[in-house]
Amino acid sequence: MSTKIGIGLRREFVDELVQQKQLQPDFIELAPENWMKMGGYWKKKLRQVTEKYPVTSHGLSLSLGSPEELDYDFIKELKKFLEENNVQIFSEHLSYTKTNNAHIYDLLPIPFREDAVKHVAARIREAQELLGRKIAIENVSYYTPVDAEMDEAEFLNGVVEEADCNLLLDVNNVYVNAFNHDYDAREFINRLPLDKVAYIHMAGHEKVEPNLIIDTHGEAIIDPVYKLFDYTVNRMPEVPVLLERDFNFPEMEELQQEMNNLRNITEKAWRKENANTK
Amino acid sequence: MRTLNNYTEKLQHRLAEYCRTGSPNFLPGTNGKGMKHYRRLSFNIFNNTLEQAYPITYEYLDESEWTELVDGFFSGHDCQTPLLWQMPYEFYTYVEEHDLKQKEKYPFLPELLYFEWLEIEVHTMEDIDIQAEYIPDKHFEDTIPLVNPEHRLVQLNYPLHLKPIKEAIQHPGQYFVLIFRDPDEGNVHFINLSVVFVFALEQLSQQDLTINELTEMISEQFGVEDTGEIKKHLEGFFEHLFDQQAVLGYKPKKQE
Repeated sequence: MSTKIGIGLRREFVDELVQQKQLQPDFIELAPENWMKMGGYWKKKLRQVTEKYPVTSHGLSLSLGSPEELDYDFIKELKKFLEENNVQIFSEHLSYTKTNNAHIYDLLPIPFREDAVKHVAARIREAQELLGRKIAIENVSYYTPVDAEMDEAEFLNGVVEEADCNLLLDVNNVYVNAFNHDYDAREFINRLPLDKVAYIHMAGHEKVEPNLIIDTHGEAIIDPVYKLFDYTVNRMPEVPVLLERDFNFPEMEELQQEMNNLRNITEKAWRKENANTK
Repeated sequence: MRTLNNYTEKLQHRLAEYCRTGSPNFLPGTNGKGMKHYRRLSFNIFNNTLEQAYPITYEYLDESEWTELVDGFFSGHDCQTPLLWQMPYEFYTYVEEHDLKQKEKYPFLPELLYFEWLEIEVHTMEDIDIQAEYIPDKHFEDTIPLVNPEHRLVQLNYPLHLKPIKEAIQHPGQYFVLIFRDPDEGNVHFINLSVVFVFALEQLSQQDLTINELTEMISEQFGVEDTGEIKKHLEGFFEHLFDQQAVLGYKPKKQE
């Protein structure tokens, strides 16, 4: 069976997904916070899509890196939502979006520090216990470190190991961070616990300055990121792969083509792997 | 057991504070260019979300007035909802509850935001199951009208539901509006109401009442003796609401 290639659900192409004219993903990913506590038109649309496709879910506001305690009411609602929508993989960002009792809805970088590893890992363990499932933690794009005691790979490894969670490997984020912070993306990939990767994200980005890329999800995936993806999938077992596109939507055929590109790369890598294990 | 040092916690607070206020706030081991992008990106999340939620307000205010309002909210209000789509409601309450210079210039500003938020609220409110058995038809002669539960009944001081904003603010007064979501397409509709019909809908929201019972109550409340005329108007009103899907049908009168 071929690798599962999915796409992030966006309101702009809900109808296209329901009709399956040009977009034909194997699964869809939704951000729970964009659909929770909603009825009416959007609830109907969500139901139409989730009846048609397997679902994964990518959280935005759990804020696993916050200094303060978890939002237990929110976790209860989230658990209900994940169960109601038969979500197969739940992922969240290794970042914080809330601090000092205020949400800011952006993914802020956690300082890469020893105490933060322990703190975040404890919060992930607690969230996993409350949700009754493992969380796949995503490596985020960051535009500045904050008084770091270690590098990103060491921080990521420490959290995944201590939390006993899975990893959502965003290959575009690895590329973006390697470019912005001047390190080798392949070497970074080599240092990750690839056996813990449950899921991969791929996306486009925007170069806003000669030496700064912003992870926008508003452009097509570029060749160097495809190459890094190819490098990565040849070093790890088969997992589902998701295409993220949040705005500046092209024709649907172009999104389908990006998914086809991802499928071609994974099939080469993982068909080879499957053949070797027979 | 607490595992995060006060120092690390302080770093996290200060980064978030910088994003919200833009005030210079020395953070060791950071780069200024990246910091500026965090400030820009986080402000844009607020600004874009609020622009989409409040298109009329956004269009009406000058760019600088709007930006100042959003900036004040971003830096001065601690958002509580984890759901970004609900954040604009907190913006409305922030404007409602604070003395802001924009409110001196535009006294209708809180109501405009409230009006725009209502459309979102009714459009997205969670589905309400109807427990009662009812007949989806319009025979209101001596039956109990079933009002679509997905609605809000509000009073406005400007006819924002009837006229463009620039005209609406020239006609302050008392306006009653039924805002509801049609069950088929989920679209939001506004119906202007007279005070008598508001009274009828309020009574119906509290208890099951037949058209005849409502007629008696209206007669008593408003001192109108011609009950035949009241009943005729009530029947017409509920038939109109049925056609619009603001009333979903009727429940038969309970047998004594």
